[in-house]
Amino acid sequence: MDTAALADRLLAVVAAAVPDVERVGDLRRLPGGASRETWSFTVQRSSGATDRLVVRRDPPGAPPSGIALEAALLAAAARAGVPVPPVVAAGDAAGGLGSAFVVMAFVEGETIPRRILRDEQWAPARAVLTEQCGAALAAVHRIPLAAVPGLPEGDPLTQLRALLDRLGQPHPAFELAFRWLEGNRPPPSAPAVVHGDFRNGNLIVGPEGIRAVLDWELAHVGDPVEDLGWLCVKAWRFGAPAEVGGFGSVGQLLDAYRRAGGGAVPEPALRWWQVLGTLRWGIICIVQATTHLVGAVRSVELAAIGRRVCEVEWDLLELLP
Amino acid sequence: MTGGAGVPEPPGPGASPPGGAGGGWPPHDVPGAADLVAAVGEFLEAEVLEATEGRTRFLVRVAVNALAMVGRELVLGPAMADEHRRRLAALGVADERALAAAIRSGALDERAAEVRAVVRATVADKLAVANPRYLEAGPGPGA
Repeated sequence: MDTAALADRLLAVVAAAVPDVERVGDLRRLPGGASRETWSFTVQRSSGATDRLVVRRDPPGAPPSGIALEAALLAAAARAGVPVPPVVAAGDAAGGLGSAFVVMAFVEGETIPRRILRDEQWAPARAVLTEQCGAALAAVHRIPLAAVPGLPEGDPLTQLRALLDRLGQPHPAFELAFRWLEGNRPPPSAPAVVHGDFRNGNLIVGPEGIRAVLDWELAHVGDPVEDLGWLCVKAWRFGAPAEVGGFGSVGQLLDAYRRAGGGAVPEPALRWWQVLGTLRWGIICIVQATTHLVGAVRSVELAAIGRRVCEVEWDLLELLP
Repeated sequence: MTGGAGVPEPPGPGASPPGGAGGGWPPHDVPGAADLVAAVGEFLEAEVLEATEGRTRFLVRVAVNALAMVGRELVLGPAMADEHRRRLAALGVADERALAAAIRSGALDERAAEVRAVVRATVADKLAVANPRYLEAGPGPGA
């Protein structure tokens, strides 16, 4: 399907949901997203108004990547009070676009972490981000599990162990982390919907703070504290000092989470998940370098990430008691 | 101006390239491997960076960083490898794989402090090559 054909089909799909749509324009593919395509486009309404929309779909012919689940998550997240792009339409492979898709509103704002953390223009956002992250995560963890059947689940520590073994590279610092994690598991919280990649970079931010939480591809059923720990991983501070995403303190985050109804999280539990998240990021770095080394994707960027693994090892040594 | 025999004058009285510090090995001539890598890095930084934008410019920066890493590894690598062998031998393990396995199995649990010190020293060496600013300043330049 070429771009013009896709535009025609999009018009039909959107018109079924928004009756006075007359024309689709400015359709272009956005960078990133190997497993799911993202396109932005505009629709002209008969009133003269123009709306900007985004469509995410599985590449035609590719195995389904869970777009249907993403659509269900976005809808359930909105109902729970998580700021997300409003869903306009969604469908499966028979739904008109040739593969499963979800159409959502385009949300204006900044997503580049270093700008959010450094530019004067986003200083007002930085002042409220920790509070809003606590509230947004409390809302994510309120999503009823029954609203999103089919989410994967599993023990992250067991999964990371298997992944590192499959990669086959020895990392004594990671073994120290595994030993500590295995011997110091906190009591589990009640299972909840876990976003899985909630951090600076996956948030659309305006001067007033979080406008939308993106990238639900790693959502799963698990311990909600996992999301809080991941937000405290050093890589997501992008060089800024504050422990939570480069903009806040752990105390502020836990307090905001609790006040928003997320429950009281003991700091040792958060620290356990922070160590697990840090280990996870280190293993992701190895995966990325391996992608380059086995020739799946040759890239100087992926190659260089392999040499960032020792940064993560250092972080772990600093975190482990 | 010539230095005689139709050869250009060298750049200063008695100027000669520094011996040994260029990260190269005999019988190769100067510039050594590290000097060559530095020359390519300087070229990328001084000229290619200016001529590019967007994603390519970002990747030029990544390439400059990677070359600087190679340069440091060429200069520091041999001594670090010796030191690493010595540290592992003191723990009675042959290599990183054996150390990882011993930590995992608990075989070195009774020497935990020693193991921790060895791992820390090894990671510090890796960082001194990969990103020395990470050790100096805490948060490094990142991606």
